[in-house]
Amino acid sequence: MLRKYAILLAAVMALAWSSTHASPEDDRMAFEKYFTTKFPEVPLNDFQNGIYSVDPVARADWEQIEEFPPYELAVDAGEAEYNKPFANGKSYSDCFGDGAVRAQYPYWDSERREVITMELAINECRTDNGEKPLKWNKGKIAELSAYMSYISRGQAVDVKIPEDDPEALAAYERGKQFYYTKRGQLNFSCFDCHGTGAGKGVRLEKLSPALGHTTHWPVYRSKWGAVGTLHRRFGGCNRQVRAKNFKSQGQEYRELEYFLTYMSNGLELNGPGARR
Amino acid sequence: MKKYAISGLLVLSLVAGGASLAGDEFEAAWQAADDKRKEAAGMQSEWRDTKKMLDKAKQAAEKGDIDTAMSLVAMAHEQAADGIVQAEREAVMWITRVPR
Amino acid sequence: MIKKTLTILSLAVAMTLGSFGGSIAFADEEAVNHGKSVAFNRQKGNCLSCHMMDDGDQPGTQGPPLIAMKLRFPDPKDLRARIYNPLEFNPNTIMPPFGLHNILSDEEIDAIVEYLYTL
Repeated sequence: MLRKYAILLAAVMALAWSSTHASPEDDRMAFEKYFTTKFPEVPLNDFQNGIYSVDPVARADWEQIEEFPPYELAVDAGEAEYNKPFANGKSYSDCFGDGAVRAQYPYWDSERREVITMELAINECRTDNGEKPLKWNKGKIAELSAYMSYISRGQAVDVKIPEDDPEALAAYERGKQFYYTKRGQLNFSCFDCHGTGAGKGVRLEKLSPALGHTTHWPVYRSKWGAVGTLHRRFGGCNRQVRAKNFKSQGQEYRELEYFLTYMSNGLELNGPGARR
Repeated sequence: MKKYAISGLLVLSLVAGGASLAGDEFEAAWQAADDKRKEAAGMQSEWRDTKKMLDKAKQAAEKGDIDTAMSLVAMAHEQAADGIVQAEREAVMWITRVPR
Repeated sequence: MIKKTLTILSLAVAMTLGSFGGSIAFADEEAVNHGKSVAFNRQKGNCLSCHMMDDGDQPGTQGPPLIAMKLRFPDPKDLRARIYNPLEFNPNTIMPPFGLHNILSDEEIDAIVEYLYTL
């Protein structure tokens, strides 16, 4: 057993050496090719529809659902909240202008040396204006995010990793390592299900491909009966493989979002989404 | 603390006939398991149910059920240890899954 | 279509194994039944989430169908090892290490092996 790992280790080290020299853009192109090769019948810009790009049966249901989108109420509530002034007389528009800013997130903040997500920015806008922060996973923050995503539809995913800042690349690399690392008692990595297992069934449910995974968040999930944020889903995925979930908007999930969103660069933002 | 010692004593005096340190033993075993859990967490490899097992172990010990308490602690300890081994394995393996 | 092919295939296998067929009768029926319930239970083996097997409803398609197990794993130790720790055979497999990570007990894995040998 040990010997097996030793041999493997040698192979891995060779691999690791060459792989650390892959740039994020090399990664992204290989990632895209992995999925377009696996699903040759799916046009690239259809991957933003997640599972429905590879599951024609579920897609028919979904197209019906989209005629009366279940996230509509959340978008309306988010719009009302967005336009409601804070106690100090300012409002979200002082932070985000017209609010159609989805494509600017997540980004690397070189001064703060951390990844900033849209939900984090929403709460910081509040606290900067003397308001209490919102809870991260659902409720008002998901509604604001739904509204801002809705009016950002059609923008292209465009995550940047500033080349002059090695710490940005390090954050990306940590997100990448998180993505491919098996964890939990059931020993699954994100990629095990959404790469290796993508398009194949778990019982009757097919697993969604990772390419395009972030474009349609936040999502109204029938299972939740409400809109929820991307980090809420990250936590649910981690618990499903029987790993302890990480904190929403903590460093781990923000860097995971940074990596995963970069993988979908060029695809169209189409949030909020509706899922089972 | 005292509570565990007393309830542990009650159980053990029936089973083994008087070992008075059962409560202390439980406390030490619990602490060791929790330390392991934190070590796994530090490697981003804590499992979902480990903390729950440790919480349940405390409850069982408070009720004087040292056998259940100790077996839960052992399970939690093993989970934490497995999570650490997993993290060590993955530290070299993850990169082999990256599409290239 | 696949299902049909599988049925035919398993029939063919059953016929070739005809001479061994009798040995199933000797298998501990209780262990086989227990193994089946552990394999089907979502909180336990949950094998159906990824494998087509036996008369299980709504099987997943992540892993290969579980048929002709005796033919594929003549030595029960090999089959057991693949359930206990599939990482030993492929460190990138997506199959959970049921024994190594104590997802199932030793006794439960033994029962599953007994059951799988009847497939």
